[in-house]
Amino acid sequence: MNIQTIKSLKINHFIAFMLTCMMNVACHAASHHVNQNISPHFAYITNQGDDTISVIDTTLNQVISTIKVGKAPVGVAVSAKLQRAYISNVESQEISMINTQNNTVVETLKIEGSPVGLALSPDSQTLYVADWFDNRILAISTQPNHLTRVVAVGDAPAGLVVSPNKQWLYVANRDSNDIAVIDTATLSIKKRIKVGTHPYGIALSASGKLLVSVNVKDDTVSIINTKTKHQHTVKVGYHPYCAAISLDEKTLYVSNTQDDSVTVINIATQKTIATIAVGSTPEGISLDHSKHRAYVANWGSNNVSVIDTNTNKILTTIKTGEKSRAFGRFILSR
Amino acid sequence: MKKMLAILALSLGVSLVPFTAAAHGPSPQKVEKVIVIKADPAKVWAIVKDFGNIHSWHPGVASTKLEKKGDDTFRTLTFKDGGNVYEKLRSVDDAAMKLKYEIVSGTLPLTDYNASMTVAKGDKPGETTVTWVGRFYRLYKLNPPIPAGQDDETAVKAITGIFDSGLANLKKVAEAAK
Repeated sequence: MNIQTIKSLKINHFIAFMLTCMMNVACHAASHHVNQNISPHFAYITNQGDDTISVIDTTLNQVISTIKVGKAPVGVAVSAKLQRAYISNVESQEISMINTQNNTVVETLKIEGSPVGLALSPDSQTLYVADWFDNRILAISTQPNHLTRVVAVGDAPAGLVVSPNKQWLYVANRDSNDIAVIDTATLSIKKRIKVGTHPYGIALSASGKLLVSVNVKDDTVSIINTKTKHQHTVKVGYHPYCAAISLDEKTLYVSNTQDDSVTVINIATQKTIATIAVGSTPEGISLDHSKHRAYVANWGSNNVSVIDTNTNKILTTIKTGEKSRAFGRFILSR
Repeated sequence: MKKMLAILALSLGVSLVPFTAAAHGPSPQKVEKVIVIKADPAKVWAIVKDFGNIHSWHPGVASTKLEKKGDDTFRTLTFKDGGNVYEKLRSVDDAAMKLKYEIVSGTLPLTDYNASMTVAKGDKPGETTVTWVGRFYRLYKLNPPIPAGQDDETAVKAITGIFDSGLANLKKVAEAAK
């Protein structure tokens, strides 16, 4: 094969590649449009300081409802299937259950312990609650009887996430510096994955392949391949808290509480693509995949920063309640 | 950390926090105070950024000891009421006129404290605003009931007192300075 042939092959490849890209963009734009029309999305933001939830309509980027809950709400989990938002009121030791169709509290469940992190199983059958001081996880049925099972984990369990096949519950144990992998069928610890110092937030990619812990004390994230168990540590900003992964599993977003910023990481290269200035002391972060946006709850400035994830620029800032935290996956489709 | 807690608890004259506790409280607390000073921002910033001289403007601080450890800067404040606090300088940003620091140890009834002081141009010419923000947790590290003296209110009250008295006198000192 002479050089000329190689060159023309490369050009052909390039043209084919460009065509594929253009088609992808077209498809993406179409589905984006459909999603926006058929399925509105809402962000449920916990406001620790005034004991409320701000409900943001992500199409309008406005607060459409403010709901009174228990004392110092922190964690949140949402279910499109049940049309429920679950909120952990850590200082009054209870879970508020919100009907997301009319945004009213329908039930308040008393919890023994200090509930912080929340996660739902993908089938919405089980609500997992991290009990911060008692070093255990409660697995509560979302059925009216709220049948509860308990498993002891590491010290100061915080972030929770369940695998897409609902088999595994991952728990970030802040003071044990590990992630406990729990078999949800038997509610027993299958293994512990050592991560950085003080893991707080946790994120899992859509396929379940990539697991991320946000390590507050050493300013890093641990990116773990759940199949190969390979792990990479990537430096982020000062005192990072929470993370979210793009739907295509290529990009990671991390909130840095004490740098007032969000670090955007290319997962494949582990390089920082952008550092975005947000509000003061950003905590919870979730993605609205259909609109290509990241929503970041700012504890210090009492608002939510909306990031356009196509450009990594701030789209708008939405005033919420006092000390917004939104710890968990807080974007709901209705 | 546990040792520090024990020392803190003893110095406060309250019961010891059980040794099983390690994590900080579940809800961070915030104190944010702003004051308007009739002085040039650059002049106010020069006072605020001087990490080793807080006693020159804070009425509650008897003395400050500045220390360098490698690239890090620390200060020990001795309060007029007898308490003390050992703090680490995090950053001094001249462009943003923002100072950040954190408490390493001390006798204040709180943990995991970090703070910033920001100097900005005021609404009127010749005016400056100073914003002092602290984030911290209560001393008690177990489920309720929370003992008096180790709760959120106690921690917030301590910092509010320090910020209010400090900013009021910073205003006096800055406005009097030539």
